[in-house]
Amino acid sequence: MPIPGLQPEHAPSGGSALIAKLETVAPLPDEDRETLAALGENAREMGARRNIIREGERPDHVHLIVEGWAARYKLLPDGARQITAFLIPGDFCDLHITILREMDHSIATLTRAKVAYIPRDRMETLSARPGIARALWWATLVDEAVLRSWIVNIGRRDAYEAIGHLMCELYVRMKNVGLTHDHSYELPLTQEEVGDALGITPVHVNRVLQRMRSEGLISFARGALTIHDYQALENASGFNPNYLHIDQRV
Amino acid sequence: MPRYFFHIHDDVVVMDDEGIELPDAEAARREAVAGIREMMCEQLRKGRLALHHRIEVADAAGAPVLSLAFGETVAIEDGTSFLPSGT
Repeated sequence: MPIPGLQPEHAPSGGSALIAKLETVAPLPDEDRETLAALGENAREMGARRNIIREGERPDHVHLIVEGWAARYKLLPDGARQITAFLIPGDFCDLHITILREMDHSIATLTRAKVAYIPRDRMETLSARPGIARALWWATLVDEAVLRSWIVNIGRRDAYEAIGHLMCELYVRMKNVGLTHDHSYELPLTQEEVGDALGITPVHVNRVLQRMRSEGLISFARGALTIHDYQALENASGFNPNYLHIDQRV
Repeated sequence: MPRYFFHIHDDVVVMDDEGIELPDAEAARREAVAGIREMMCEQLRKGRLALHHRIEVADAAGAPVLSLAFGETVAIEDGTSFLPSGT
């Protein structure tokens, strides 16, 4: 598994990851692109494993991951953690969160990260631009679709299929924001974090990864995952990228 | 916190090169038991149960901390005898 905290070498700036992602829907006019690029300019630098916002806190800002990885999670009374989303550059942590009085879950960085804190009025200005508004709705719908696919993953797939599915999903999402090289991408997740996302033990995660390695499907080197036989991994995990709605621009 | 490595000996040997940070050896045992029981569930769903498979836990220096056979983590009853966990 990768070395925690390793950063992508060729990460685009957050504005460009966000623009790449939102232009999945349709090309944006230059003025919209400049507005989006400006969002990442005053992003806060954060260390790995720092809370961005915790359950119970009041959400005053919309958070945008500019660089690095973050996760949404719930803590259980016995201290166990369920990760409910991985957030990569260009991902918002809830576009309309400032409507709510308090957070019902927490969001934390997994790696060193840059996180933009966008005040509510600035989001309202953004949403007034029709191209951006449509793209933000697309992003919200895709976030919900990802959550649906995670329910299916946890409820109906065995550990091998579920881990394969997660790797395929992250590959497609990373590729869409320009963070893959061929079939490789930085995957800064520990076995525990993969396990906490899928509801399986880290020991079992290790066993499954070894099987995938021995089958020649994947390998890890210096924090990067390489998928050697993407089609086979897709077939083995029942992955269909339709829920990411990336091919909708034709 | 010390880091413990969970090497799996089932049909093959799966070395853990990442490890998990845990407070002490007792926590490492609990982690091993949880992992074993989960992997046994997956075996059972496929119609198999290999009680002799095991996990060997090592510390960061590579020294053995504990060795646990899958069968040691469950109480096995068949109505005629009772083999308590750990025998």
